[in-house]
Amino acid sequence: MASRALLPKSPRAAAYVLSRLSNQELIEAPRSEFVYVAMLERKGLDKKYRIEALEGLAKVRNTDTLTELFKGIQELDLKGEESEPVLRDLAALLLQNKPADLAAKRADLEKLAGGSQLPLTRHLGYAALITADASADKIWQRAETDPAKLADLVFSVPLIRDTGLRSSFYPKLEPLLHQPERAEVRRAAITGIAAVPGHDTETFNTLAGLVKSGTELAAAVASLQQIPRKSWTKEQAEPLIESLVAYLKNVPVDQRTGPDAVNAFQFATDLTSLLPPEKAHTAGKTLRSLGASVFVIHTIPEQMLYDKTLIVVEPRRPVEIVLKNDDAMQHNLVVLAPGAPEEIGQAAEKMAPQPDAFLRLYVPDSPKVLFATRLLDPGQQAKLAFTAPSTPGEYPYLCTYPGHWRRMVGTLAVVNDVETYLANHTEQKMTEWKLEDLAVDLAKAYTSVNLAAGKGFFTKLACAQCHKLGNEGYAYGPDLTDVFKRYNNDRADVLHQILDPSLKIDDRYRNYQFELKTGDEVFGMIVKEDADSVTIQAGPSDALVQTLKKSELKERQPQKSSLMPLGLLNTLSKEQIFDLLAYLESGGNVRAHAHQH
Amino acid sequence: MKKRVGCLILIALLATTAFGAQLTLNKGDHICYLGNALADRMQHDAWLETLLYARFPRLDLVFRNLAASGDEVATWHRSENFGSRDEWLTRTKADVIFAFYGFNESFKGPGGIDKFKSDLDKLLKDTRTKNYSGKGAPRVVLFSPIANEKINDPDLPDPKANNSNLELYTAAMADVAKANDVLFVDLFTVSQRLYAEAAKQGHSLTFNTFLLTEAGNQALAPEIFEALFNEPAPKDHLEKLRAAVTDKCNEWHARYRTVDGYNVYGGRSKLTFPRAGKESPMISNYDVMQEEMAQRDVKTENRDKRIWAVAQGGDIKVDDSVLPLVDTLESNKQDVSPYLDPEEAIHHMTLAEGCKASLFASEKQFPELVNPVQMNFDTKGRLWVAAWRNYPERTPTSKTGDSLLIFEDTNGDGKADKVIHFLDGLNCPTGFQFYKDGVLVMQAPDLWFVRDTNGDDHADWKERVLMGMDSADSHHTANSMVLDPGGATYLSDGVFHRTQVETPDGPVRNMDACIYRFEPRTYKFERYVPYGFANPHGRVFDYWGTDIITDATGNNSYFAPAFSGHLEYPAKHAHMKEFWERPSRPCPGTGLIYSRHFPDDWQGNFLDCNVIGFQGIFRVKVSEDGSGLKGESLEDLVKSDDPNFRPVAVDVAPDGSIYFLDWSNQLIGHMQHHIRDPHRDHAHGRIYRITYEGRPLLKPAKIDGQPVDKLLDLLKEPENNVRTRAKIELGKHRAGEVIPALKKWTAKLDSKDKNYEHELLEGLWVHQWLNVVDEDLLKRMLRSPDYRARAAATRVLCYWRDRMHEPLALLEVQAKDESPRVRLEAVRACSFFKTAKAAEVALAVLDKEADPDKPDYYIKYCLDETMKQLDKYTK
Repeated sequence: MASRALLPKSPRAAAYVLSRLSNQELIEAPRSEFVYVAMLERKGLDKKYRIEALEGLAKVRNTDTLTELFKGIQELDLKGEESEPVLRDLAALLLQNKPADLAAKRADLEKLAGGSQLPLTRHLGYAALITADASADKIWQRAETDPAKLADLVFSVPLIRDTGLRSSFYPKLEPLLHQPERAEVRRAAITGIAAVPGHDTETFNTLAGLVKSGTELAAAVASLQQIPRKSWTKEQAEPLIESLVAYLKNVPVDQRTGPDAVNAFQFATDLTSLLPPEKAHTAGKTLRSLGASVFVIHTIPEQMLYDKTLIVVEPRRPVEIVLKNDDAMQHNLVVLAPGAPEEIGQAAEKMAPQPDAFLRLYVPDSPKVLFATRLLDPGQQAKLAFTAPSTPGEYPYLCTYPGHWRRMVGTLAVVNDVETYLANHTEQKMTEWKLEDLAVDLAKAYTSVNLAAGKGFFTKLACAQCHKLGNEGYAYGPDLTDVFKRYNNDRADVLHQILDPSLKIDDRYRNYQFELKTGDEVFGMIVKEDADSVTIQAGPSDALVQTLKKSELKERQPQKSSLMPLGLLNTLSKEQIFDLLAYLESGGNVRAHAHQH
Repeated sequence: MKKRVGCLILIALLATTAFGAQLTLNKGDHICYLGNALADRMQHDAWLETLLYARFPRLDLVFRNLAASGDEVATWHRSENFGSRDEWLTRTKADVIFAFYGFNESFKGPGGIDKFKSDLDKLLKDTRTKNYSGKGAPRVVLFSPIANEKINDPDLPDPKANNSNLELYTAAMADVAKANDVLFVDLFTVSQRLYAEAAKQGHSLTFNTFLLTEAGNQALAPEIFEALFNEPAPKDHLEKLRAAVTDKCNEWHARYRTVDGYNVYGGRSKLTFPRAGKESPMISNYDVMQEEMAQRDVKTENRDKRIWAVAQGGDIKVDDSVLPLVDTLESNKQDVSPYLDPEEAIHHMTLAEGCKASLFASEKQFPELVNPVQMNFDTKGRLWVAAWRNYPERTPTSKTGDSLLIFEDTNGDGKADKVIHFLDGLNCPTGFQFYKDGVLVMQAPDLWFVRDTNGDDHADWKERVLMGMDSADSHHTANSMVLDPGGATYLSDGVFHRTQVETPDGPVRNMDACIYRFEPRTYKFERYVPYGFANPHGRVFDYWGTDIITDATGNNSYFAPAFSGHLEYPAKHAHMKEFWERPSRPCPGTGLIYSRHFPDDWQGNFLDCNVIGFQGIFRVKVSEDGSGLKGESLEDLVKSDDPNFRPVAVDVAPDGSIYFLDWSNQLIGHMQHHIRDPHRDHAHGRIYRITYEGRPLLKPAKIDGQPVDKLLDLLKEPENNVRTRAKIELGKHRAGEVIPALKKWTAKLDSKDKNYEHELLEGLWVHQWLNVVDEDLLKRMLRSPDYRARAAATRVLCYWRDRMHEPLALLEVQAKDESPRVRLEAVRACSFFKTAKAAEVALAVLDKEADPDKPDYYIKYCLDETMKQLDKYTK
C-alpha cells in the first residue's frame, strides 16, 4: 500500500500528513518518531501497535516506555474528550504495569490524578496510585475531605485490575450510597460499587432501592446493568419495571432516544426475562409502547425520492425520523392523515413560499398535517420526533415542496403487530405505471388472478375509503360495483381511468372551489343543491359535508383534476394490479366470480 | 486566394492523405457527423456540406451533425436521457458516418495510444454490425484531427508539444482504419500545409491554434472533398447554396443541442401540470417539449427540401406553415397579480433610509426591455442589458429572439431615452461581458466573441470562442459573467449539466455544477470552483480582488478563495460553511457597493438580490474573519410588496448611483411551473436606479477613447466599476504601448499616499490583463507592506506559475506570511502544482497557526482540499 517516503520536518505538518492516512496506511508507514506518535494516538489501532509505538519512542528519545506512556496520556488529555477511546487503550497499558514500576513513577501518577483535564485521566491516575500502593487506604485518607477528589477516586475503582483490591472497597463505598449530602460522591459510589466483586446481590438490591425511590435513577440503572445477571433478584424485577415504566412515561417523547432513557428501556426489557411468561408479555408490550423508534431517511439525489418508503411502528409509540437531504434540491418530510396527500399536496402547491410559525415552508395549515420537518437545503438534516398516532392505519409521508409530492412519498404504517405487518409488507419499489406498460399483458396475465389479494389492495390503497364495491367501502366517489358494465367490460379503459383519474370526471363527482364572500375558500363536490343553498362534501366522511348559503357565496370554480390521487397503483406490481382489477370486475363478489373460472 | 494544385501533384498528395476505397454516395443517403469541435464547428459555416450538395445535386442528401465539442471515441458526455450515440444514429438513419476523433484523446499522450486504438477499433467493428438506415451497415469515413497552428501571438501557445501527440494519434488512426478497411483522411498533414500557405499571406486559419475559423473551414473543405472523391471540389456559385445549408444547420442545431434538455427529455421533463381544456389529464414538460422537437424536425426537413432545390439550380420558399401541433396548457398558478405600472411599482418599494428609487427604463417606453438578466456599463457609460424575452427558451415558432440591448441616457436626467439593438435573434443570452473592442456573449452551448467593427453599434463580427457549455437547464446556464481585476472572466453550470469544452490544454469536463475561469486572451479555461452548488448565480470581486460566490437556489454565499483551489475532474470540493447567514432564498444576482455617492460605511457592502418570500435586495456588512470574510445583515437596500417584483441583478453606475434589474414576472420558478406555462411573462422588464438623498452624484469618468495615461490615472479611483472599465479600455491597446506607459506612471506614484500599494497592485493587474509577466513587479507585490496586496499578488503568482522562476520558493514565503489571508492564498496556489514539494509548501502554514488544535477554519479547509489534490504526488 501507500507509504510516505518523507514526512515534513515540522512536527505539526507531519502530524497533519499522518492524520490524513487511513489506519492501514499508518501501520504500513515507514517508522519514525512522528509515525510512532501517530500510532500511539490514533483511534482504533490494535494494542500491539501501541506497544510498538511506546518502544519505538523510548528508543528514539532515549527514555523508557512508561515515560512515553505518561507523555502520550498527557497529550491526549489536553486534546479533550474525543481522545477518550484511545485514552482507554492507554489506560489498560498503564495499569498492567507492575506495582513497583508504577510506584517508581509516583510523582507522574499524582499529576495525572490531580491535574488532568479529563475525568477519565484523573480516574486513571487514582487507579494507578492504588495499584502502586496495593492499597486504597493512604490515598483515601488524603482525598476524603475533598468531595471532588473523593469522587474521582471512587470512579477509579472499575479501572483497577486487581479483584482483591477492588473488593476491599465494599466497606468504603456502601455507606456512601446512603449519604445524600455529597451528591457527586454518591453518584461516583453508585457507579463504582458495581465493580466491587463479592457483593453482587446486596449491591443489586441496594441500587434497586435507589431506582424505586427515584434517587440517581440514571446512574443506578447504568450500574445495575453492570452487575452479572445471575445476581439479579427475581422479586425486584416487577417493582423495578414499574418504576422504570413510570420514569419513561415522564421522559418527553423527543428525549426518549437519549442515553438515559435508552438504558432504562433496555434494562427494563432485560428484567422482563425474570418474570413469568404472561407478565413478561404484558410488560414487554407496555415497554414497546414507550421506547422510541428511530428511522433515518435519505433523499435520493436527482430522483425526487426517499430511500425509505415504509416505516412501521406501534400506536402511541415514540418515533424519531431523521431526514438527511442528500439531494441538490430542497426537500421536507410531512406526515399526513391517511388519504390526505392529494389535498395537502395541492394546497402546498398553491402556497406562497412564506415560512409558517415554525419557520416551515410549504406546510399547509391543516389538521391533516400531523408532523412536518422544515424545508432542508441540500446537505442539511432534520430530526422529527413525535408519538405515533393511536389509530392504526397507513399514514403517508411526503415532500410538500411544489412539484414533489406526487412522487416523493412513503408510508408510516401504524399497526398493533409490527412483526406480522412486516412479514406481509415489504418496502415496495415505486413504478410509475403507464397504460402501455400494462395493456399488452392485460389479457394473458389475467387468467391467474388472486381475487382475495385484489380485495386486500382495494382496502390497502384506500380505494374503499372513497368507493363502494358491493357491500364494502364508503360512497364518496362513484360506486364501483358495476364499473365494468359502465366501461363496456373494457379492462384497458377501466385501468386507464385508474391511472389517470382526471381522464373522465362524472359531473356528479367534480370537485369545485367555492369562494366565499369572506374571502375564504372551500373545496368539495356538490352533493345537493337548491335555490338557496348548496351542500358539498370535501372528503370521504360524513363529517366533511357542509351546507353553504348561496347568499354567502361569491364564486364557484369547477376543478379540472379529479379528487382521486394519481399514482395509486405505483406501489403495486403488474400482477397485483391485475388482481385489483379482477376484484373490481367481480363487483365485490369474490366467490361468485371465482366460480366462473 | 487559393492556388490550384496541378493534377499530378494532387494525386501524389492524395496517396499520402487518404486511403481505402473512394466514397460513393447514393440517392437519399443520410450523412451523419460524429466527433469533436472540429466537426461541431463545421455545421456553423457548412463549407463541406455545401460542396457535397453542389457536386451531387440530384442525390437529395441529408446531413445531420451529431458532433459536440469535447467528444471522444469512448466519451459521450451528455445530460440525462439525451440519447446514446447509437440512438441518435438510428434516429437520423445514418447511411454514411463522418467521424472526426483524436484531438481530445491526444492529450493522454503516447501512453493513451493503445486504449485509443482499441476504442476506435471497437467503434469501427461495432458499426459494421449496425443497420441504422434500414439499408445496411453505414459506410464510415474516419478523419484525423487537424494540427495545432503556430500563430504569431504571444498570448497563444507554441503548438509543438500538442502536435507531436496529434501526429502519433493520426498515425494510430491510420493503422486502425487500414486494419478495418475504412476510408481515412489525414487532416493533420493537410492542415499543416494549409497553415503554411496561409502564413505566407499573413493569415491564420484558426483563432486559437486549434479551432478553425470560417475561412479555415473554407480552406479545409475542398481538401476533404478531393480526398473523398479524387476530384477537385466545385468552387463556383456556392454562396446561395451555403446560405440555404446554414439555415438548415441552425435549425438542426437548435433541435439536436436544444437548451433546457433536462426539461425537454431529462428528469424534469417528467413533471406534469394542468392541461388546457376541462376533461384532460395532466401534461408533462416532456409532452409539450417533444412536440416542439417534432416541429423542429419538420422545420429541418423543410430546409433540406430547399437545399435540394437550390442545389439543382432552382429555389423554393421554405414553408413552415404546417407543423405538428403543440398542446396548450393552463397555468398551475391561477392567483397571479396584475403587473403594476413601472412608476407605480416604486410606491410599493421600501428603501433603506436616505435612499430614493426612480425608474431608468421599462417595457412601457422600450417594449424590447423584457426579462433583463444581466447588465454591464460600457466604457462610454452606456448600460448594456441582456434581455431574455423568450425565457425559458424560444419556441420553434417564436418570431422575435432575445437581444443584447444598449440603453443610453443622452441628457443625463437618470432616465434612458434611447435604445440600440446591438445583437438580436438570440436564444438565452444568459450572460455577457466586455473584452477588448467587443463583447463575450453566452448563448449555450457556445460563448461568442462579438464585435462591431464599423462603429454603428450593431454586431457585425462573431466567433465562437468556447464551445460545449451545457444548458441542460436553461436557468442554470452560465450567467453573471464578471471580470476579475486581472481580466479573467467566469462562467458557470448548475446541477444536471454535462459541460465539455475543448481548450489548448485538453478537454475540460464537468458533471453538474461548477464555476469556471476563462482567460479570453489565452483561451485558458479551467474549473474554478467545482462544488455541489445547485445553481451558482452570484460572483463578485472586492476592492482587493477577493471574491464572494453565491449559489442561487439556497442563496448560500461563500468566501471563495478557500474553495477555488485546483481539483482534478471529477472530484468536487467538500462542503464549506457560508460566509453570511442569509435570511431568505433564492438569489439570482449579487453586487458590491463601491461608490462615494453613498456614505462611507456603505463602502464594500455586499448586495444580495432575493426574489421569493423576501422580494428585494439584502445589504450585508463584510468584515474580516480569520483568513476569510464574514457577513452581517444590515438594513435592506430595497424591498417591495409587489408580488411580481423580481430584482435579479444590481450594480453601481458610472455616476455612483445603484442600478438594479427587475425581471418583473408573475412566475419565478423554472421547475415549479410548466416550461410553457402561459403565465410565464414575455412582455415586462424594468431597470430602477437608487440614489442617496443629499449626497452629490459622481461625475462619470471619461473612459472611451482616452489616452493610455488618462486611463492609468483612473486606476486610482475608489469605484470598482471605474477601474474595471478603465482596464477594459486599456485592453483595446497593444501591450507594447501600455506597459512602458504603465512603468512611467508607476514611477511617478506617491509612495506616501495611503492608496500607494493598491495603485501598484492595479499596475500588476494591468499586466495580468494584458498577459505580460513582470517578475520583479510581482516579487515586489508579494512582499507589499499591505497584506491584502500580498494576498492578491499571491493569486497572480498562481496564474503566472508557469512563467516565473521558482514559483514554489516564492510561495513558500507566502505560506509563512504574518497574514492568514496571504497564507490561505499560498495554500490555494499550491493545489495547482503537481509535485510533492507543493504539498510541503502548503503544509508550512500549519506552523503559523496559533493553536494547532483549533486551526483557522478556511486555512484548514483549503489545506484539506489542496492535500486532497496533491495526495497522488506525495504518496
